[in-house]
Amino acid sequence: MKILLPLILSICCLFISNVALSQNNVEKKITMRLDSARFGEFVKQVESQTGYYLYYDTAKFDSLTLDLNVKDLTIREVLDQVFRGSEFEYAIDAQKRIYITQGQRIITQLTPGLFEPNRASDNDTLAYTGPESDAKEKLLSTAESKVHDIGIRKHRITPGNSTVTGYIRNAVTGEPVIGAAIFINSPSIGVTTDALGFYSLTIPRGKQLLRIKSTGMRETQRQIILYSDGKLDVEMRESVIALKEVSVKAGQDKNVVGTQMGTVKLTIKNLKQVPTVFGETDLLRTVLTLPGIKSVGENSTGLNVRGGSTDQNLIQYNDAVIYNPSHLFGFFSAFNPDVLKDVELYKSTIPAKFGGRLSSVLDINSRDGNKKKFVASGGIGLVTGRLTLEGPIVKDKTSFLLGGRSTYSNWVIKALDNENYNKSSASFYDINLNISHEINEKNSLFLTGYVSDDRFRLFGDTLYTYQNQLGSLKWKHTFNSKLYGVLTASHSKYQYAMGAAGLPLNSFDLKFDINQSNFKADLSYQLNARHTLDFGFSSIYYKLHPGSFQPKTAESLIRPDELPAEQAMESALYIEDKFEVSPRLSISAGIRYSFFQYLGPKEVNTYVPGLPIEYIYQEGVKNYKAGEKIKSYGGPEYRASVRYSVFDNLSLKVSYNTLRQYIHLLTNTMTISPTDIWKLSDPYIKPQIGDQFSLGLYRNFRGNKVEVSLEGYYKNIQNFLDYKGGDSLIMNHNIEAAVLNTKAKAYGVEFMIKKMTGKLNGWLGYTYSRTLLRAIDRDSPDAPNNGNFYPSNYDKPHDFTVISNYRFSHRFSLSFNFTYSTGRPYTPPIGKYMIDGAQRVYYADRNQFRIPDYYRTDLAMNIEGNHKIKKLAHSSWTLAVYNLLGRKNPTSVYFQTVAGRVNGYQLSIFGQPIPTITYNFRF
Amino acid sequence: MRYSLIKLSFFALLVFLYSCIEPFSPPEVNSDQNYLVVDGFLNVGNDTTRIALRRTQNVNDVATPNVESGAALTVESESGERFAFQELARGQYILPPQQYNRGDKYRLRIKTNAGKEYLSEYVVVSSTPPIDSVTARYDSFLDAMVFYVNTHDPANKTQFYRWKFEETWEYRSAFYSSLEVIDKKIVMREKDINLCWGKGLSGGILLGSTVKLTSDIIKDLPIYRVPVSTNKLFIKYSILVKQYGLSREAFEYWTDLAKTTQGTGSLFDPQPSQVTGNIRSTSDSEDLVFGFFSAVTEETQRLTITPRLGTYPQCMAPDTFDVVCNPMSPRQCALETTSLLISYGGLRSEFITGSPSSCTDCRTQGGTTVRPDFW
Repeated sequence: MKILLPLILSICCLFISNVALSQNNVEKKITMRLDSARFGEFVKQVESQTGYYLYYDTAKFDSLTLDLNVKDLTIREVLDQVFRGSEFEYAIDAQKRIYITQGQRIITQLTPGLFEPNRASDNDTLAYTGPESDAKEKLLSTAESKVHDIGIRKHRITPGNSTVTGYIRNAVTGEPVIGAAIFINSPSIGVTTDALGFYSLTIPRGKQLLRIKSTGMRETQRQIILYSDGKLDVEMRESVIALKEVSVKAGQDKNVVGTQMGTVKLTIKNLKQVPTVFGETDLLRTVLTLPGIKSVGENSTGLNVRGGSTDQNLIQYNDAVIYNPSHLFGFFSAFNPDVLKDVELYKSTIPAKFGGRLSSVLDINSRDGNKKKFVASGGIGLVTGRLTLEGPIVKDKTSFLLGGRSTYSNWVIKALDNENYNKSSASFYDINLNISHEINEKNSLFLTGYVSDDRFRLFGDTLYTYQNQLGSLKWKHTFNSKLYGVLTASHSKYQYAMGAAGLPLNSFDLKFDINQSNFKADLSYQLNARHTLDFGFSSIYYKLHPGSFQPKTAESLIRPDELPAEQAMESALYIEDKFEVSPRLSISAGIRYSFFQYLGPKEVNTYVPGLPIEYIYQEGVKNYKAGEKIKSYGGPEYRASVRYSVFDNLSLKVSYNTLRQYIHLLTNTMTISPTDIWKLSDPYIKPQIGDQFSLGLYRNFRGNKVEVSLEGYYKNIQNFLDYKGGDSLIMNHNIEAAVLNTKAKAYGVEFMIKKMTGKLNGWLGYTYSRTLLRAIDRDSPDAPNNGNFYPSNYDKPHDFTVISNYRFSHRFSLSFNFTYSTGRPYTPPIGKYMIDGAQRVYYADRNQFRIPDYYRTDLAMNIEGNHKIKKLAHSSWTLAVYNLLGRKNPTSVYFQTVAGRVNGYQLSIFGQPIPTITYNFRF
Repeated sequence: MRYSLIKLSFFALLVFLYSCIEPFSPPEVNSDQNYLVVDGFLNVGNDTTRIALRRTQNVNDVATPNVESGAALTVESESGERFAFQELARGQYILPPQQYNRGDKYRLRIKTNAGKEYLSEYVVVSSTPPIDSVTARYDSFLDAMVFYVNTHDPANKTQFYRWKFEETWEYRSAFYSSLEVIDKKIVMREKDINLCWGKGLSGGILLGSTVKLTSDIIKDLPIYRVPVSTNKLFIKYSILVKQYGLSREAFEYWTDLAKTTQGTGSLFDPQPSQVTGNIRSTSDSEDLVFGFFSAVTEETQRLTITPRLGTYPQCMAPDTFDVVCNPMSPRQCALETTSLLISYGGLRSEFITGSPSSCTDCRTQGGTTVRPDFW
């Protein structure tokens, strides 16, 4: 025992003098650098540099190590740094003695001025000031070694469970860390943080070691003594060298441990490694490289997830729906990489809180603005430029993030000599604004605004424009440590217009728009350590203007036409329980009840009873008043998944899902075109109902570094929409007569190996999948292929993709992609005949032939500037070659009658190597 | 130079510049697979039934379609009657008018020379109500003559209609050729090639339905539009409208066939539709048959008008030719020209006027000089 506390207390009271106080002002500065040093080492250095003498209980410090890097600091500054946030206190007396105590600080002097009332108090001794942000980072290591008391302290800890809640934040930006895994090892209990970085973990009381892991963050841990329910916020540091700890999944072993199937999370870091056609990080194109996700062609970012059509994906940006997630007809995705944080794709187990689309949920989250300092970042690519500004509005409370992106392709086109191209134009921009505000510990607000705008004119005649606009406001409230909720109000609008001014007599404006106002409440309640309940409701009001066709100028002879507006209400209630039966077995089961009402005012076409729904059999119209219910649909949707751990790192998962979809994209063209229209379910167009059964095996190798998964699925879709031959969908007053109700079945096997750590990282995926459709009315003359099953437009059985990145050094990495897929089906004309004096061409059965197979290799090089933390701008260069081998992959084939001959053509959109260069900066 | 370099580098960025279009000729498009085409219907009225059998062709085949000769065609009724066709010309089969039972159902059986057998579905006899009237009105906005058809079925049973028409018009070529060269001699032309009759057939599929109406009346349905600019209306114009009552199945077949578009498969084109008809092979479902067999009566009505709209045909001024060949002359010799000769000219008939056949021979525009018997 070096010290005797009571003794010291009595001694120090005796010696106070002015001399001693003045001595403090000329004390020596300390410079030292410690790396995982023992506390004794620290003491030795302090004592030798300053002449102070430290008194402390060695037993309390013998297991403590600390990192310290200080230069020219006073002893008080150094000690503040070391002990801030810990339960240790220090006191310095006039005799250069330092007393380190636990909990209570030793008072080394009487209140100043006690004996001399006129003297101004010297408050330097007792005042506490917050650590500087630089110092704070170093403190995190002490936070790890310190023991945190959670709850109300008691002498005896009763056995049982208590709940720890809190936020996981980024220590540098203050942003919440989403999807971070918080867990204890024995017993194995863990949770992940939600979209706001909030977690709630119920574990046995007593001494516990909480481990916290997250994508791109340095793993950390907290020693806690859990007395009762309480709160613990954790700040995590980003791994500056993103070499070791980047992972695609939230938890490294989530793949094996979670009940989730078919879920993939990509962070912006993953996205940035994948070379794309114009050198721009592209969210949807990267998602397209994952198994089970396809698109009809290279120019399309419409996702076909496990045999679903492109409208069956719920694409949410900060919880607001985006209807057209692409720019320039699908060449770019409409998300600015600088404001993105991550994207999570659900393709088999869809949590009960999501609904309204059949195939997948693509949940896109933007970053929060930096809460600590102002940062500008941006990039200059060949086609686009982008700039993002972020910073605090109120430091540590409120931040903003404003991102903008635009193309300058317009002036490039204008600079061309070719007359035809000169008249063309193509431009787009998108703007994001996020404001996050922490009202207090229990309440935070998030505001998102997003606008995208596209204008495209081909050869000077028709101008296509389309816009997405959305806004969302989220309020997160923690009721108590077990219950918290998020209220979201959002509004989305998508509109397109087509204006032709080429011939004054035929000039027209064609317009379409869709509006949806959405309100939802999502709550999560942790019943006990083994049950977590998620429940809530949502309500969406739709208003669509399906089309207006107006003369553009007074001299135009176009007859004005307008399709009446449509409106509907879609609501849902859900509850889901995550039940941890045993460490080996966990079940997640939920039910969602959705109901839909198609509302007036509306004129609904009526058809002659007993005859097919065909334009030629239209009888008249029936009028409905405003707000009157025209048709309602509804039904339960079941969501269930089970995970069973066969061995430690091998698990088997089964899931079954049903979903309902009440809004449909009507498109009879091969790709998503901006003129495709959305249509609500009505008395004739029934909701699409899908159910999917999937089974998967997951195994992690080499300490969770390599994830291997094998998933199979079988899916049925009722009332899947296909289209009768030859009908136009634009400005069609009898749209119900142009659609064909089909039944779809899709099945497939997906195999994936993923390695996200180490010098070599990336993934390899192989998918075998089929999507087949069949008309429900098999005897109808419109039933394709005589009412038999036929492949869908995006049925590409084999798909093999390699995405890889090799890091030669911290500053130089090389990415390589390879993609192979079976060519998509098409319907060629196979003959002609004369009948009744006119020539007719006849086609093969629908989608019975395939265009040539697709394969492509890309190569990209990322060169980063030096990693000095303090410099004006951090920059990086990306050099990439898309389609390195220059293979002319046909995107589409088509036939044209030229001078009596039917000629076939194949169109390759990127038929040669495309080199790009992009400069990114941040300051 | 620098400017053009920048331009070149950006040139490479553009989406549509990366794209390339190449001919695409997959084997399935050029397959030699050919199928039977049945063109015709059973005329239950007082006229002869004509059915033509042809084969389909490869889409790029420029030859005239092959006909199916030597087949045995029979029409069978559900009650067991049989009527055999005769082959009038190669691939053309006829059946003289018979006493059909209008309450019965009929089907077509085809046995080809190669021994394959095809059978249509049984079809009910659709009787066609007479055409009430065919009218014509000049539409000044379109600057065209529009022909309308009116009909009604007092029994309210027909409901589905199809029309075909034949148009005939009289026209002249710009110049009257009164001379011709026979055996290197200039003689008076014997046959008038200035006055012709043009003939056209309806190309599109004209359909009408009264299912949405409370009574089976077709009133003023426009079936054809003749723009004045065609010059068909200058002298005399006649249209023969043929009307057929259809069954619902036949109506749907023709509706779908009408929707079959010519170009398809491009990125933004609708799905092509596959329309075959109601005739199937008895043995091989892969062996397609194109055509729709129906049993129907035909009703016709002719309208002839002389609206005198349009202009007299114009041509470039006639050339002059030498009567006697003279190598020193700047003019061509009348005996050697390909132009047709109009008449002698000059004070002493020292030259002959002539003009290319497109200005003098009305037959070059597709008509015949044979006056139709109804003219």
